Amino acid sequence: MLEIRHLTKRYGALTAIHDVSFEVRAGEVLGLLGPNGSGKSTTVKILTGLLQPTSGDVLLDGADAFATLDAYKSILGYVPEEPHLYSYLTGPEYLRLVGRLRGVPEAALDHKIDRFLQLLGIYDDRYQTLSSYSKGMRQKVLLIAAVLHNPRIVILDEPFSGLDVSAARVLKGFVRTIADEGKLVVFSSHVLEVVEQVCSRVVILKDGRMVGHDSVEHLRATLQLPSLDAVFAALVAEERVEERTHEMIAVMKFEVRSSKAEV
Amino acid sequence: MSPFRVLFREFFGQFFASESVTSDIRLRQGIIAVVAFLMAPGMILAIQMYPTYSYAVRGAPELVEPLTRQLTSLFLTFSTVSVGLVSAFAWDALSFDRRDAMVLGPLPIGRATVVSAKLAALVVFLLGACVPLNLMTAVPFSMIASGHKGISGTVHHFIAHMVATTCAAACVFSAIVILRGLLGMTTRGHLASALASLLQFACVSALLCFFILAPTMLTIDRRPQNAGITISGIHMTVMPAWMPTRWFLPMYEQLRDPQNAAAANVARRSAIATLAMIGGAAFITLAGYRRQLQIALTPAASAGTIGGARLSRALARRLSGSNRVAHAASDFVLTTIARNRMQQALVAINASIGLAMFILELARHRGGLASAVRAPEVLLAMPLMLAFWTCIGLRAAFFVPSELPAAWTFRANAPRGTSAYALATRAAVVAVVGPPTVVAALATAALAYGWPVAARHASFVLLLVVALADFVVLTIDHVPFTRPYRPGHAKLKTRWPLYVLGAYGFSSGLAALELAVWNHRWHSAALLTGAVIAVAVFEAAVRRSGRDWPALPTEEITDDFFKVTALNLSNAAAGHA
Repeated sequence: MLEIRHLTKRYGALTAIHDVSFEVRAGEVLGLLGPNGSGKSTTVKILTGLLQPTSGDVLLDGADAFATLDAYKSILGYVPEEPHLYSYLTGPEYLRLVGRLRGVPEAALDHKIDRFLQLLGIYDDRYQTLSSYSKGMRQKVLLIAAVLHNPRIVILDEPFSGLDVSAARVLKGFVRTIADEGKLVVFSSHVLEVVEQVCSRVVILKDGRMVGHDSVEHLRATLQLPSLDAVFAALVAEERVEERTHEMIAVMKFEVRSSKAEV
Repeated sequence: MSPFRVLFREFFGQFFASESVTSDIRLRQGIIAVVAFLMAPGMILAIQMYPTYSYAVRGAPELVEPLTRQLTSLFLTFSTVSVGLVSAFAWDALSFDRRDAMVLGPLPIGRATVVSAKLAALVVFLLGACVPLNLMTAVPFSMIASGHKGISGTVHHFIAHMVATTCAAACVFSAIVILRGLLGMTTRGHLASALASLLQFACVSALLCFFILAPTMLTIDRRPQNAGITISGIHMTVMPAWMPTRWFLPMYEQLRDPQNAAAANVARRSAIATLAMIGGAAFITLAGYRRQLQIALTPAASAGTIGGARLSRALARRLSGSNRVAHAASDFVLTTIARNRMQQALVAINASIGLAMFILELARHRGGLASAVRAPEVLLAMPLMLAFWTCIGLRAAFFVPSELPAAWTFRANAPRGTSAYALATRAAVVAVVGPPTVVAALATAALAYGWPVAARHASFVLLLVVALADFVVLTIDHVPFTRPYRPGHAKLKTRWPLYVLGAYGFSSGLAALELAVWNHRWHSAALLTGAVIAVAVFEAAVRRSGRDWPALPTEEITDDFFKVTALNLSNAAAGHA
């Protein structure tokens, strides 16, 4: 089990997250939700060992993960939100780089890379550099890189970004299946419909604090709301959606017709 | 703003785009520095000729015309080399590429507009490069060289100088544009990319060699007199007829003196050739755009279309042993160098400094160039000089980041506390520098002393290269290309004497040491043994210090490395404040 206890991260006077606690159990997919600026990315980066918390602990099976950071990171696979890749490398070259850094045996590495590329439909582009890849293709490369070494913990930050419908369906099934195999999966996304389909439990963050932590069904039942979207709206208190929508349309249509502006 | 103007500004801006240029201010500073560097020598050379001309006019009038032609040849050479250098560094932007086709193809802009904007940008770039350069030489030179012929003579000199130097520069520039366009049309970019660094190396070397050799083309005898120093003689070395700059000398003479019938035919051919080159460049630009539109969406058929330094990578993996992390790191280092122009440019510039220093040694050698080439101390030092500066160039390249946001790959995946990265970097340096240096050492020594001696010498050189690579790696502390660039970290202003001393020490000094024991078998064996011990000591130091390489720090860097530190927090901080 992966436990996050009283996690706080400050940047000077600014508190990015405050006293966030939750756990990720084997066999489940934990969803991490929140609007922009809620501390979602900060939480993800602490979980992946890329940031040190100001206070709080990340415990894996009861032991401090940061005390043995290399061992912790060696069993962790991470798909970041932004697909920053070395654009002058081809897909297989990038995956070979990651695989070797991860210590994947050479004999298995090429086979794994080829099969993953075939299964995700980007095998024909294997000789192209990543600079020519679409966003969805880059996302597929990142996903392969995250699971190449058969990690125990998989952290996915907006993994469906840019994916076509077929690839998204494959990924949903893949995420559920790896959780069923006993892996610990953390899934961060803005797409609530997907979260509802994939995740067992969700953690909802707002302004760096936890405002919800339960299973999707329980949250719906407790708040008596029909969908996760409604639950999210209620907990995060997004206001004036319709009003802002109408204002945006008005701005879009705005034209200066004469010396006096007309709205 | 019309599409033509928008495209023109975009294409013109591409000539100056660079990953290391972080702001408009730095871009302007860079342009000013380059222009000043190129303009100053020509102007100084022209002004320095005034006493020489005065002597010739008063004491040796028969030398005035040969002197004028000699200096014009030098200025023509300077113009072509400078414009060639500038073009080589703007190589990528000289023709259309796949990205242009993919971005512009779908837009509702006619091909004529796109191509004409590109041609306009090329013309403005050429004129912007060569006109200031040539003005700096034309104004003083025409006043000095024609001072005895009155104002009309000055004007004729000026026009002839400007036209001839600009035509020569345009010819070279057009040739480079044609080459770039042809490569872009016929290859997938790998060959064009490889040629860019070669061209940069050639142009920087040509410019540095010009600075070194130009003074030797014209030597002036001075002797002290009561009133000071006076000139007693002028000696000129005529440029070989095969040099392209000699083709434009008749154009200069014809424009300066239209009555000069001897120069008319050659001048006419030069003008026609220049127009043909310019026309060819325009045609290739048009054809290049059409071709890029055709191939923009075609996937590559094989990996061979992408350069990747396969042989160097294979060698580096061997040198890294069985460590998989080291294999990954050395592949990454070599592939980055093979596919990134900025890193290649640094290596090319430093290698050309090495070549220029070697040329300087040749030029300074007693007995002239012919005997210098046969001198053992010069022959043996040459590969070492080039190896030294290439290593310096590689080291400089390691500090220039390549796609910095992607460095999270190492942060998230790479183990810490291992010397694998340092060993991989050392292996990469040896893989790049070692083979050509050993081949050059083998060839130069074999020509002079035979193969058995050459083999012994090549072994010594290989050990020196490995030791140098280890030393270079000891001066860095991170995985190459993964850290932000820190301007001024090289402290060139204060450390340049160390680099120059190091170059001479490593090349001439060690070559002299080897020569001193050349004929003593035991002393040679002791020297080789000493080199082996030095390599072993450096290797141990690299393994020890490499374990402290952090791969990447775990704490975030306070820039826009991560969105969370830049975008969201800055907004949140404003709110909290």
